[in-house]
Formats: sequence, C-alpha cells, structure tokens
Amino acid sequence: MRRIFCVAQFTFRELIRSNMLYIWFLSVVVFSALAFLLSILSFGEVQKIFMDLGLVGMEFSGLLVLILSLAVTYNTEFDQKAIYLQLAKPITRGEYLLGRVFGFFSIISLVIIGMGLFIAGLVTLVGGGQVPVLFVYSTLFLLIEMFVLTTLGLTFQMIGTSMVGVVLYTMFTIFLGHGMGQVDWLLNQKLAPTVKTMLRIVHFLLPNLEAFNLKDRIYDPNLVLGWTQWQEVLLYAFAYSFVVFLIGWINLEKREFM
Amino acid sequence: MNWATSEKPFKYAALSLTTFFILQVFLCVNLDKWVHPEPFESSQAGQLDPKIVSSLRAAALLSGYKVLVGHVFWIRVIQYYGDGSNGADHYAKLYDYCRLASDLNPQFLPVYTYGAAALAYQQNRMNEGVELLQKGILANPTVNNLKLMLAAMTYHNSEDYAKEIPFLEIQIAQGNAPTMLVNILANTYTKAGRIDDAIRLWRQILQTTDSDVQKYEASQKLKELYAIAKKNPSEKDKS
Amino acid sequence: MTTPSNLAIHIKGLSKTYKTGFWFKPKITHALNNLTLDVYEKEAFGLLGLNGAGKTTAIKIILGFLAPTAGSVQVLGGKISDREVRNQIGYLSELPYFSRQHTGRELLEYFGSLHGLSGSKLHRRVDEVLELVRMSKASREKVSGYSKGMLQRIGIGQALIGKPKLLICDEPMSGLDPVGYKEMRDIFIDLKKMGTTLFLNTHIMDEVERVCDRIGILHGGQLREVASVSDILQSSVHVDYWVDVDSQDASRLAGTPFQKSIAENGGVQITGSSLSETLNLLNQRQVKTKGLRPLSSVMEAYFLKSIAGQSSTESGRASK
Ligand SMILES: Nc1ncnc2c1ncn2[C@@H]1O[C@H](COP(=O)(O)OP(=O)(O)O)[C@@H](O)[C@H]1O
Ligand SMILES: [Mg+2]
Repeated sequence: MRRIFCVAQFTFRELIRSNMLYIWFLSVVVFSALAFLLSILSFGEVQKIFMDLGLVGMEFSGLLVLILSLAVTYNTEFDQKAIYLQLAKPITRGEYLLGRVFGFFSIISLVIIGMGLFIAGLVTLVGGGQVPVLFVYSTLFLLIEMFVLTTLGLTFQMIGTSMVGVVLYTMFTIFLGHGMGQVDWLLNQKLAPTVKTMLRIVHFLLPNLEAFNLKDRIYDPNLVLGWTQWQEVLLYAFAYSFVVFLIGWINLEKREFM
Repeated sequence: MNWATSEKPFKYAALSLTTFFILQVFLCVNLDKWVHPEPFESSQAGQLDPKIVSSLRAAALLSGYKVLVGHVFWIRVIQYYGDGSNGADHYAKLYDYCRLASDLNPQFLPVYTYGAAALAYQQNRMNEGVELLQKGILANPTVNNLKLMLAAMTYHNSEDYAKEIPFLEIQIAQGNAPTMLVNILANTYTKAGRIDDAIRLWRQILQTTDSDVQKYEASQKLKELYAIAKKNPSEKDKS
Repeated sequence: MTTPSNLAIHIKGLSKTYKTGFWFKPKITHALNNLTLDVYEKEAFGLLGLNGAGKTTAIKIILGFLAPTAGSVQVLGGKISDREVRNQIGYLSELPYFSRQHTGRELLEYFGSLHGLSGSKLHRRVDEVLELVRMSKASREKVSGYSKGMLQRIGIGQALIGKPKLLICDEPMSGLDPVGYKEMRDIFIDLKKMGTTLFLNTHIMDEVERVCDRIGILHGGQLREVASVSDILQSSVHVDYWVDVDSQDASRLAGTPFQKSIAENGGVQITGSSLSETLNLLNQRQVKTKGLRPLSSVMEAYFLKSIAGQSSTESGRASK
C-alpha cells in the first residue's frame, strides 16, 4: 500500500511540475470567456449557460490533462526508459501501475474540482444565484468518468509501442465512448440480429461514457437519479476500470523491455 | 505473497477477469435504462439543409457535448433572426431553426419563449409559435412561464386582448421573459384600449432600454399614442 | 532446482533471440547463445565484450526485463520476480534516465521508499548515499540541470539506496570524466570491501584490472572464457612493446621476427611478445635501450586474443 502511495505521489509531483496546472488556468480563462460571450448573446439564463459551459470546460480540461500526461510519461517512462530503474526495485508491476493511476487521477481531480469551485463561486458570489445539487453530482460523475478513462489510458500506455499510438487510442476510445448512447438507442430499434450482435459486442467492449454524462441532462425533468442509479453507475465504473486495469497489469507483466 | 511474474496471480487475474466480465454484461444491459437518449422528435429537416442538420446532430450526439452544441447553435438562431436581410422571406426558416435548437437543448427555455414570441407576435405565425410552446411545455412540464405564454397566445389568437393581458403581466413580473414581450404587452394594451397603460409602459421602456432600435420604436409609439389620447380625453378621466 | 548457497547469480543455458523487422521480412538476432555462468557471492565479476556482444541482454534477462528464449536464471538463490530478491539487488542501467521534474534528493527518497524505507530512516539513508556519491551539494537542484556525470552518480546512488547484497551495473563508467571515473572506481572498491557482490558490464580494461576478481568474455552472444584476473595478470600474454633506441641501434633490430616498424625518431615497436622475451632480444642484439613501455595492458591483450582467437567473429549472429 505504501509503495502504491509513493508511486502516486511521485507521479503527481512530476505532472504538477510539468506545468499541467497551466491547462487548468487556460481552461478557466477560455471557458469563462466563452460562457460570458454566449450569455451576452443568448437572451437570458446567464447562470445556466455558465454552469453548462463550465461543466464542458471541466471535462475538457480533465481530458486534456489526461492526454498530455499520458504523452509526457510515455516519453519519460518508456522512450527514455525511466521505468527500468523503478521496476528493478522491490515493487510489483501491479503496484507501479496502480500508483500511476492514482497519481494521474489526483491531478485530474484537482483540475476538475478547482474549476468546479471557481464556477460555483462565480455563480453564487457574483451572480447571486444558486448552484443546483445536480451540478455537484455532475462533477462527481465527471470524476468517475475520469477514473475510468485514466485506467484506460494507462492500460493503453502499457500495451502501446509509441506515444502517438497511445494518445490516438485514448482519444478514439473517448470519442466512441461518448457515442455509446446512440448505440444504446440503436439497440432498442428493430435491427437485423447480426447487426445487433455486433453492436452488443461494441457496446460491451467500449466504455459507455454516456452513463457518466450527467451534465447534458442536468435540467432534464425526467431524470431519475436515485440510490439504484448511483449504485449501477459506480459499480459499472468500478467493474470496467478493474477489468481494464487487470489487462494493463498483465500486459506490463508480459512486456519485454527491449 | 509474491504478486509479480509467478503463475499463481495470473490464475486469480483470469478468474476475476471473467467474473467482472460477467458483471459487466449485466451492468451494460441495466445501464440501458439509465442512458436512454431520446431520439430527436423532428426527424425531417424542414426548410433547413438536411446535411447541416444531420452533421449538427451527429456532432451533438457523438461528442458527448450536446448542451454545448445546443448553446452555440442557439446563438446562430439569434443571429439569423437579427439579420434584417433574412426578413425578405419573413424569416421562413425561423421555426425549423428553433425546433432544431430545442432538440439539442430541450431544457433551455429561451428557445421557446423567444422563439414563440418572435413567431407568434412579430411574424404572425401563430400556429408555429403554439407548436413550439407545446414542445417546450412537454419537455419542461414544471415550468410555468411557458404555460402562461401559451395562454396569452391563445387569447391573442382569438383577439381577446383584455384576457390576454394578465398572462403577459404575470410573466413579465416573474422575470425571465424575453424583452420583446414587454413591447408586446404595450401593444396589447393599445389593442385592448388601455392607452394610459400603454403610454406608461412605453415611457418605461424608453427610460430603461439601451437599444437604439427600441428607443426609436418607443418614441414613435408614444407619438402615436399621445395623438390618440388627445382625441379621446374621456379615456384619461376614467383612470 | 537447487543451487549452492554461495552463488549470487546462477545462469544456465541462457539464450535470447530478438525478432525484429516486419512480419513478412523478419530479422532474427541471436543475442545470447547458451550462456552458462556462475557468479559467487562477494566477488566482483566483470562481463567483457564488444558493443553488441550481448552484455546488456544478459543483464536484462537477469533482472526480468526480458524473457529468455531458453535457459534459466537464479539470483541470490531465488527468482527475480520475488520481491525479497529484488530488495537485495541494486541496478544501474546504461545511461540512467530519470524524469526531469524531481531533485536528486527526491529521486533518492522515492527509490528508497520503494525499498520500504520511510521516515527518519529514509532521510538518514538518503543523506548517507548522497555523501557517498558526492552529491550532497546539488541534491536540492532539479535533475534537469544535472550533467551526465551527476546523473550517473544519482544513478549509482539509487542502486545503493537499499544496501544491496548484489549490485548489477551496465557500463557504469561510460561517459564519466577522469575524476568521476576515479571516484566511481573507488566506490566499487569500497563496496567490494564491504562484501557486496558486483556484476559489471564493461569494456574499460583498467576498471576490470582494479575492481574485478573474475571476468567472463562474451563475444557474439557466446561466452568465450571465464578467468580470474590475477591469473591473467600473471600469465605470459603477449603484448606489444615500444622500445626507444637510437637510429643506428634500431637498424640492429632489423629482421627480427618481432619487429613491426622503425619510426623516424628511432623508436621500435616490438609486436606480440612477453616482457622476458623482449628483454632477451634486446640483450642479444646489444641494443642500448633508452626506454621500454608496453603499448597495451595485459588485460586488453588477453581480451583481444580471446575474441580473435576462436574462429568466426560472427559466430553468434545470423540473419534471416
Ligand atoms: N531490442 C532489440 N531488438 C533487436 N535486436 C537487439 C535488441 N537489443 C539488442 N539487440 C541485438 O542483440 C545483440 C546484443 O545487444 P546488447 O545486449 O545490447 O549488446 P551489448 O550490451 O553487449 O552492447 C546486438 O546484436 C543487438 O543488435
Ligand atoms: Mg550494452
């Protein structure tokens, strides 16, 4: 356990010093400006627009931090072989990978929560409005999503043989994962059984990121978000990341360091 | 215990992999109930270019940023209505634009209030305005503003202006109404014969507005109204 | 499988084949060919070989970074996958690399914590090691500003942080300046005195002579021989000598079987001879010698003879 924490701490420090927080700053500026512009132009509901765009910005900056971190650490760990010296130490490869996941996740959480607080502060203090509880829930869902994507990205890092490959796999999966909602919808339509089976396989293999996409439904009056839904979503996230983590771990164990 | 390369952990790993895969199948099926994307209601593009419509929908649905795309598209709708050159065909695409914007962002109320007001009062396309409001009410059953507006519009349609006025008044008093609704209320006062109220409201608009267009409109209306009021001083005594 | 308890590394029938290139045009490299080697506890063993001989490959297999194509390795009586075994090993890779954002001290603290150290124990050990590798001063600077030699020192520092019983170094002297080189050599000699088993990959003969007890010569993936350093130094390996003589004396040496060239300023190179033979020759011809020095070390000559001696130079390699 201690060793996992050490790897996480080491990773966190490395990423923070690689100026990942500039991304946070950049996102805050860009999305605040965008939100400001849109709210001026769109006749009303300024705070709603601000929160909507804020959530988008939070996800965006989280993804950006994830992808850049994957690229940066792929370079140091695998291209420059910094991983050799670590794996020669009395730490198992599973511990190393888990430490990396937590290190990544902590900096991504920092960025997302920081931006969420900024937006909530702006809405309540400057706008004098109220932050709906669903805004907070959306942020939590975003964090769950980021955990799944972090395990996934790092697993790709364990499998991939080039930095570009790792980044592309991850971005592609994020894109397809958001399309899973449409696959869900398609599966409820009348389709040929073979097509349906294929879709089921795709649906099963790729992460269903729409399950975590509360931000697009934050004002939906038909939204039911009870204990069962929380359980399902959390369990899904946990099961998915666990499977993905195991695949990454096995790959790291079997990886030949040429 | 040694969890590194020895064989034993791999048995555990394989075991847990299968367990979790099975769990995941179950969860995938269950999650369908949670992730239930509503298919877009209006399947046809109407007067809009179907290519643009479908690519916009694809962008919204596949990127996972439906709300963002909706907000940005809504700005495009406003620009369309704000551009005088589109007035040549009386903003023919306005209704389809509003429908598409509400598809992308069904809980964003300005689409309905602004869109319906523009369609029904300014362009005299009452049916389309009512349809848009209906859609909004169905998507946001708890929002009162839309219902008030529908009631007002129904009375307006049957030229029952006196009954229309309270609905507009309540809505404006509640805030969150598009500014053009204030103009509409002032005009409705005139139509209902409440010249004094109309003058009061236009004056208020003249004092508070920043828009030159609105200032000009208000001063024009006030001139007309003063003329009517002089002709008909008995009205003044009543109030 | 049992091994004598005094074996630090026990390598048996180790082979490694690399497959590179495209699937339709594979290129196969036999980097190691049936390597069998024992390293005893508390000895310093040097694995010598030219570039591409397979030294790094051997170390990577010992440390579990590569899976052998055939054969087996035991380290400190156990498997490298065992955490306890790795706890007793220090490893310094060829050109060690660290992520650039940490200070030297932070790096050593990290590696120390991977060894299970924490708290004041960790800090004390880090201070000790920093002192040992002479990096105390720069320890709070970021690694990104370090020179090659400083990186190498932090590298050896992280290898030593867990007080290893067995230290495995891949070309530890490469890229060091003379001072750094001497310091590193002193560190190795100290470690040997303290009873640490050393396993070094190298092609620097001076280092081998002063540090190692035994050497193995690897060529083309095959182990040519294993010998003790003191035996080699006492053996009568033929070395080239340079003899400083006057030019008229030089002519007296003409025609001798050992002579290779006569230089302008009156020096003579005597090829491939032992010291006694050379002295005898000079005596016989009554040459007045102004100076005599070997042109290479015994170690180097031994190594060169060893890799040239047995037939093919391409023995371990084949393509397609
Ligand atoms: N990753 C690799 N892929 C293919 N061939 C390799 C790889 N690493 C080393 N080799 C080949 O294996 C042989 C031994 O290499 P290496 O062990 O690095 O030698 P040394 O460390 O003694 O210089 C060389 O012929 C080299 O070309
Ligand atoms: Mg090498």
